[in-house]
Amino acid sequence: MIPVAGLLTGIALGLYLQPDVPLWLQPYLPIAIVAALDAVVGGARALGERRFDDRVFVISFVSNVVIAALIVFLGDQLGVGSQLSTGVVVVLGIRIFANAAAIRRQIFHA
Amino acid sequence: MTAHLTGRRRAEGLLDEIADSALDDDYYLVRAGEPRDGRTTNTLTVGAVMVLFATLVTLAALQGSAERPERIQERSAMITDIATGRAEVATLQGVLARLDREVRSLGDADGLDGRRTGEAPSLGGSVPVRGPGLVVELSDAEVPVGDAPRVGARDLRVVLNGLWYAGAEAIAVDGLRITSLSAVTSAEGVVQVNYVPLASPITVSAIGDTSVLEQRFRAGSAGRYLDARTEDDGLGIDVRAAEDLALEADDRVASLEFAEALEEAR
Repeated sequence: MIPVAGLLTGIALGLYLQPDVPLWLQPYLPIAIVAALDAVVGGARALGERRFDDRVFVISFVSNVVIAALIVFLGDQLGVGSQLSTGVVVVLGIRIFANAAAIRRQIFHA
Repeated sequence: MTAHLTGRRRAEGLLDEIADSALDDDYYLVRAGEPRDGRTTNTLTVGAVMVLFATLVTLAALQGSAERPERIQERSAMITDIATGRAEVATLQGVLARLDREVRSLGDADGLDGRRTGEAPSLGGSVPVRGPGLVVELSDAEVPVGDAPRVGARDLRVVLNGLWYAGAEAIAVDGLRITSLSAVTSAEGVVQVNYVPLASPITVSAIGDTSVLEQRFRAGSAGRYLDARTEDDGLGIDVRAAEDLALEADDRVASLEFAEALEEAR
């Protein structure tokens, strides 16, 4: 219940406050979202496999977002920001698809 | 690690490895202590993370939709510009076609032939002419020591061609009329016109519509070439308008011995 409430609260918060994302943070927002999505899909899969652990979920979420942003930041400093972002998106994308496939197998047994 | 924890085959490639260990290994580590059934989603920390996640996604979505109208506006403005440009081109092409027809019909009319014949001697250079025009003065670069870049035959030829192109009707270089018999050469670095050596500064006088001459001369490739020569080598180039220029005839044109005008070419 609480996670769903949190989801709705977050959407409402974003819509209501509509804060301006600071300019220096804007390049990291998309990659942070992809990383967060990976953590959320992973959590959903773990839930289905009955191994969900809130501590692991929170830590994986935060570390995913921070590391992804850090890699992009480092890439920007080195002048290979877009290439590193691509790498991060590829890796996280594969993980998201693999986890989504696992969830699908769980639900449909196919 | 995942592979042996789950008992699946070990991945061979990097991408396989990523796909195989898609779920964080920590989920597979059974925590020591309390036995859990794994359904501990109803905690505040999970809720907080979900709030954060939803806020992030909403923000990104809002930002994307905020930027979209601007982009669409830009795009439509560009499309309008293109349409306007195309319409303008079409209009100008129509004008061009109309003027082309006009020129042709005027050319067919009688008057022009007579005018052309009347102008032939002055254009040919067999009679002295006078009128308004342009004076171009070329001088060697001034360098305190050593060899200074000098005005060459090529520079003079560029100036002459540029002036003809700009619409000059008669040209003289240091008083020597330029005609179909003229030669611009150089011998040991000294510019010669009709095999008469010239010293810097060389004055080129051209008769024509002053403003059109000057504008077209400067805007053409000759103007650009001379600008580059001034900038790179320090040649002195002075272009000025002249109210009244008098150019002498080239006698050689008047005394052609072998070439005869054809009747039809009148």
